[in-house]
Amino acid sequence: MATAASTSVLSKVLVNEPEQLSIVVRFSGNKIYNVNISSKDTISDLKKAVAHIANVSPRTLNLVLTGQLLNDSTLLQDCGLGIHTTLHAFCWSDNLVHESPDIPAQKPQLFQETDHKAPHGYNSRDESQGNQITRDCLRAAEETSTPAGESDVDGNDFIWLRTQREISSRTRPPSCYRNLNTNDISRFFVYCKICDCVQPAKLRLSCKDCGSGAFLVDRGPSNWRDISANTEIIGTCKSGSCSGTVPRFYLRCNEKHDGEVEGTAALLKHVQANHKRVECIICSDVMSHVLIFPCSPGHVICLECFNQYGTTCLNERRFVEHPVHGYTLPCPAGCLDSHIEETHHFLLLGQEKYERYKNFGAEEYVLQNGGMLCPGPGCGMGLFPSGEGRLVKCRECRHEFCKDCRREFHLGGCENFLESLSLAVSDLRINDERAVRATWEQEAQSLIDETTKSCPGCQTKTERSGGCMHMICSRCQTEWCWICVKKWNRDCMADHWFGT
Amino acid sequence: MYLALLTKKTKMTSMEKRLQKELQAMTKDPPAGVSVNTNSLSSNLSEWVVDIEGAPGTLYESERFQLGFKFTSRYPFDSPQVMFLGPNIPVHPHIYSNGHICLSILTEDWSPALSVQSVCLSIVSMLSSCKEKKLPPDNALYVRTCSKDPKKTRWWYHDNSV
Repeated sequence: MATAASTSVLSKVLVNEPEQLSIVVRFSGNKIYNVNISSKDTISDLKKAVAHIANVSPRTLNLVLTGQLLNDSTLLQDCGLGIHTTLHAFCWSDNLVHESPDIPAQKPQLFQETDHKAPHGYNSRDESQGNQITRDCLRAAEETSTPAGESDVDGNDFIWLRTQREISSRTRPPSCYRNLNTNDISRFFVYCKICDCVQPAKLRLSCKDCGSGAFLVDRGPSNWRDISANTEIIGTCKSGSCSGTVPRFYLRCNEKHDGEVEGTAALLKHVQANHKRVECIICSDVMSHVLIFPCSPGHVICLECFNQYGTTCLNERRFVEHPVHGYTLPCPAGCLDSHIEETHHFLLLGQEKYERYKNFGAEEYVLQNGGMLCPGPGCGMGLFPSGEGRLVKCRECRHEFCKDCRREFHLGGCENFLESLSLAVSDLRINDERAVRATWEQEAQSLIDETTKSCPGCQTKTERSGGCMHMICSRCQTEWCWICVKKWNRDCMADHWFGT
Repeated sequence: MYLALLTKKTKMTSMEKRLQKELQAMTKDPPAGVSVNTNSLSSNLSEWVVDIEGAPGTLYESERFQLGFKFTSRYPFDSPQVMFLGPNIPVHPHIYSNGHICLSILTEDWSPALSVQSVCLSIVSMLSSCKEKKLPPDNALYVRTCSKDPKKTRWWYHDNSV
């Protein structure tokens, strides 16, 4: 069990027992060396050992973990290394320093040695042993904002204890966010479509032009804009002849996925670790991970309540079409400008509801832009009929219907629809009464006609379950009168608001 | 009795958890003129009675009323059913003589960010801003025809000045 394992990792950290570490050091060109070393040794000791096997000078050797150059005097046990943690190594050459005069030689901001396509031993293997990064290390990360390239990590904010997580489809709890460990204090989270849950994310970057991970940036990202496609961060690509200057940041699930392709991890920009320990606006519990709405007070909702809030609003069709952010939700307190800005957050409701959400969103778009939905059974295709005639033919299910009453296409006025049906039946010279008894749809149609009225705005069949005569269409928001079947008005209010 | 509830260790639904917190807050630090009638609480907290008193300097000064709250298991995502109970129903243009209250936060404008306390305060302030004690214009018709559950009524909030 994950909990048992995490306790053992925890106790190791707390008692500080020296342990034997097997560290993987990766040089450019994918040369890999394994070094066995005690956790009480320093980075300097490690460098000597590596320099010895790799036959390079320890003085020019640099080791990178989490986008940070490791300091010679740091103890290995303070670096949060686990068995098989991969460190990225490179040697400074005079050549490089001359080429990049902007970069202080004593503190090179980023040098990426790993090949972009190379497998990431560090990322996957260290999971089994926990990945502890000291507070000092992270404080340094905050101050210099050194970005991480392929070598993992800006994703770790002030992790100082991250314990093992065990991901397997068999043991995973049904809920999509239960997977988050209380100690997972990452800066970024993604919804991983492979894990089907929220996961801490690793920030990566590569050259926008050639895709190489050997890219040096002038400064680290400090906000969402910095890691967006419109990033203002520039740098230098160090890969061969490429002269790219623009980095491309992306996030990956913290779990190792074989053959992982881009696009499987959806950025959840509003999800954060709750290190300020703010209580949820709904349940007032302090949860480890929360969603923060982009309103000015920054209302906080825990992921479980967000799921319930979203589900309720989805069932009641209370999402709104936002001009910029699309079909979305505001914060429960109703603040202005509090709408969820990235629709992938609704993956938190679960895949099934997310599909429904997307359908509703598409329907809303069609209806708001003057389109209509095909009334064919099980179809619902969005259509934008052109031309004057009443006949609309669905290009998906081939259903033909009347543009005015949305029933199947008929000759004559919409009010004579039923007559036109029985006319058609009598044309076949079958006894009317028998024909009516034998028609499958007729009965259902009559029942629908008896119990429902069509919304005067969108013709949606509407049933009234109680209350007063003032109806508000849940699809097109038209306010109408159940008795007059017209737009709600003062006369309806005066005459028959609560019935005749 | 409610103290025993608060210390109960069994797994609670999110509705119970949230209501316990609200109850704790309201008993510890009750807003002026509002107090939870702790004898009225049902075991799973799904029904409350809250005593409210008309604010000083208003038409309802020192009058006492009782508000009944009913919560479904979907609270706080579903609004509570709130109405005046007992013999003393305030005479107010938005309050029907059967206790139903025409207040938008109780239906359309409900938000899970609202609470029992904020509902009570809204009702107290609705009473306080009243200029003339009179029944809603359609009181007789409404009381005769309405559903027992005020939430079933599609209210037409046409006048927010009182």
